[in-house]
Amino acid sequence: MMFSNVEGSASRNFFYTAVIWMAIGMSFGLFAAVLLIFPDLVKNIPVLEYFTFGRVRPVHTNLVLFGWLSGAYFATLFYMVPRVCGTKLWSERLGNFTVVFYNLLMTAYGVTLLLGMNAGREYAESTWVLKLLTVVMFALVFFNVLMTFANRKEKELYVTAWYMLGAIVTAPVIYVIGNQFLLPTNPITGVNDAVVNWFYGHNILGYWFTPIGVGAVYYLLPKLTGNPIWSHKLSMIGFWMLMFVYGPTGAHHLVNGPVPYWLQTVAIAFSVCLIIPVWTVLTNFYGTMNGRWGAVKESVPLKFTVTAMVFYFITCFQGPMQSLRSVSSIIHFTNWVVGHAHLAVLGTFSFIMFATIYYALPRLINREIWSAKLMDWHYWLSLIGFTLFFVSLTIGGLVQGSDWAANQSANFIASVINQRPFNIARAFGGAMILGAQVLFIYNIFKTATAGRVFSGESAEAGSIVAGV
Amino acid sequence: MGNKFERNAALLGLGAFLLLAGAIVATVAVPLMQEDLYAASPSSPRYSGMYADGKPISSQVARGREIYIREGCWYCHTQQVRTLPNDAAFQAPAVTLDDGRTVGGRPTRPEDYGNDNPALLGSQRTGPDLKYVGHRLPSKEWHIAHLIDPRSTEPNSIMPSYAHLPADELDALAEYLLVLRDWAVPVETLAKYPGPNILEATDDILPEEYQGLVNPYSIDDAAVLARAEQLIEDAGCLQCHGPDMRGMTAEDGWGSPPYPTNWYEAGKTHSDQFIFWVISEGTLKEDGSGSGMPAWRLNGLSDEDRWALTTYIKWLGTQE
Repeated sequence: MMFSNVEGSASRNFFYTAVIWMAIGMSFGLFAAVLLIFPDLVKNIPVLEYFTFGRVRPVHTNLVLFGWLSGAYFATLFYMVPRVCGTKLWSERLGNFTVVFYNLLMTAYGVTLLLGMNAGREYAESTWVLKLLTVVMFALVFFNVLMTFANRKEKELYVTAWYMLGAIVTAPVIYVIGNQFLLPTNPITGVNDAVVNWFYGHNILGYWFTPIGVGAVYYLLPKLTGNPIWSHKLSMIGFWMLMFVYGPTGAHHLVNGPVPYWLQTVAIAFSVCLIIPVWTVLTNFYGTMNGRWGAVKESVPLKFTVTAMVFYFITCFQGPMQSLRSVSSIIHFTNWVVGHAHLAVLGTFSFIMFATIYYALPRLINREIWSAKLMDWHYWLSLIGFTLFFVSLTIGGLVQGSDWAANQSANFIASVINQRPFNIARAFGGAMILGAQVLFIYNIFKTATAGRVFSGESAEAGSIVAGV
Repeated sequence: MGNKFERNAALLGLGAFLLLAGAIVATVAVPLMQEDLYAASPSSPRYSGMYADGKPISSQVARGREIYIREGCWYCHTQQVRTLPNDAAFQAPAVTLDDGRTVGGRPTRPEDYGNDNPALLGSQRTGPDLKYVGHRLPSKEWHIAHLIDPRSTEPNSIMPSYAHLPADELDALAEYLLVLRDWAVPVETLAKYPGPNILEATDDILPEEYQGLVNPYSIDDAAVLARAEQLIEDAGCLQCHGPDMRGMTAEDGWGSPPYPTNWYEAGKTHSDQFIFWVISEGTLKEDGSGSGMPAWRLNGLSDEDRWALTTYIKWLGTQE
């Protein structure tokens, strides 16, 4: 067999390749941000001139969402599910085959999108055939994970397992409906196309990016702090409320727009209710930290986790407020929303994945993280860069929305001119974020090639740093 | 109960699935069953002979739409006018028909999208909304010039240049942008075209609402003239009217008539009201012919701005 059967190899390989896709995806994001400052940057340069903002943006979003974050999530599933089930991954060979499949698919995503093969639906831009293959990719991963669940030794399902099972059952439904049942003809048209697009666009966050991320924190926090989960009851409320409340919220992306008023109202009501599962989960996380806050100082994975929890709080307070008609009337269509989206997928879920990689990789390859100093740099540069990025987009969005409200959009160009300083600050923030990830990837590379042998006890309670 | 879900993975999965299924029924299936979302609307291009069976019958328009999708124009331009005063400038002009009905001048509704596939509502407004751009900017020449070099028509634009696209693709894109309009508003009702040679037109053709207006400024007011000069620079007027403000002709490399007007001439021969009218409404015909002069009333210049420009041109008329 050409695919490795070594325990942990599929998870490790997914982590390795996901961080590469992150660097590529973020580079396209930075490139897009720079194009907003220098619109004629690529003009008259052969071939490059085709890579205008509209071609670059989908490459960025698709590669960071499916290449980086989903790839890291697959690795997390392969790492955590066997451990909470007290068994091995059902098939490392299938897992490693999926790694290759996913890398080829992501390459195809990038190439086709750069060539302008765009389906015209946000976050569902890839062509029909690639969507079918995306479903195959998810199916290969989920089948492997479900078989692992079926073979579990640990009969009691831990909270992490609920979230991961929940995602496995619901995310494919969201993807298939949101991508028009994978039919090449796209049977749903008109405003209903937008309704379905946002059902997908928002719920792929709610039923894929959220549950795996939250599930990973439920796994990491007790490991990193040595504390048990604070409240079992809150865990249950948080999980079931998430599954119940998230689904109908998609139309809040179309508030004040040309979709039925009742549909907007339903979306707004459920969006506001999202506060319940989010605050329940966060209360539980903060409770679990009780008496162990001091550990944050010593452990970079814990730093990333706790920071992600703060960002999760902000993003999930913003979300319900943004859905309100009055708030939406100012911030909708502005840079504020771009900041909000990055707060969720970068500030929250990507940070959780950084923590997961720092925790899981030493255990997968039996090596200590190469440099504790680089780990710290990765954290601080990511945090400062992201804060600059987020604050400039948020304030910029408020300025933009106010510009439109003040003159009823009659002097539209004023809103473009006024965004310039914010666009520049945002690109600087983005460059810092990307720089942090370059350090991160270098550290991972050195860990894999030159890391010292991992000593189990030094890494417990997040004392990876102390061990160096 | 909790205990059961925590031991039985299938039960847990089923529970999660059923909760999501409820959301799908309520927010995906029910809207799909709402017939009125597909109801015929005279505002939608589909029902005015432009489109048939949901497909535009002009292949060039259809091609333009495909290019619009391919180049990702829809990431920065919405095509929805919300039910908010903030979006007022993006509405189609309100017009009262002979039978007393008023058309245009409203936010977009579900039926305005017919069975667009995909529907291009957009989610971000880095650039202006385009749902009714065909009313605001009905000149194909203007659109093509704008696509080739956005900074030539709007110096502060951050739109990419599409100079690298073949000429027929630019033509298709412009064709598509021109059909983005409210098709319930009759084309002829909106025509306010002063004729191909503006300098020969007289106050006789001045629309009623522009007759009798009074210029609040005097040509002796240096502050107004300075303000006008700033506006001219910001709006990029001289890209067409020439750096010396004496217009452009074939000799200056301008392709074909109508030629951009010589302001020194216009200031001598025309009334304040006429100049104010041309600046306000542009010289474009609603069918897309005419010249590329935009209707500045709809493009960010206030009444005071346009009067200041009028005053400046009248002042030029007194200079050599």
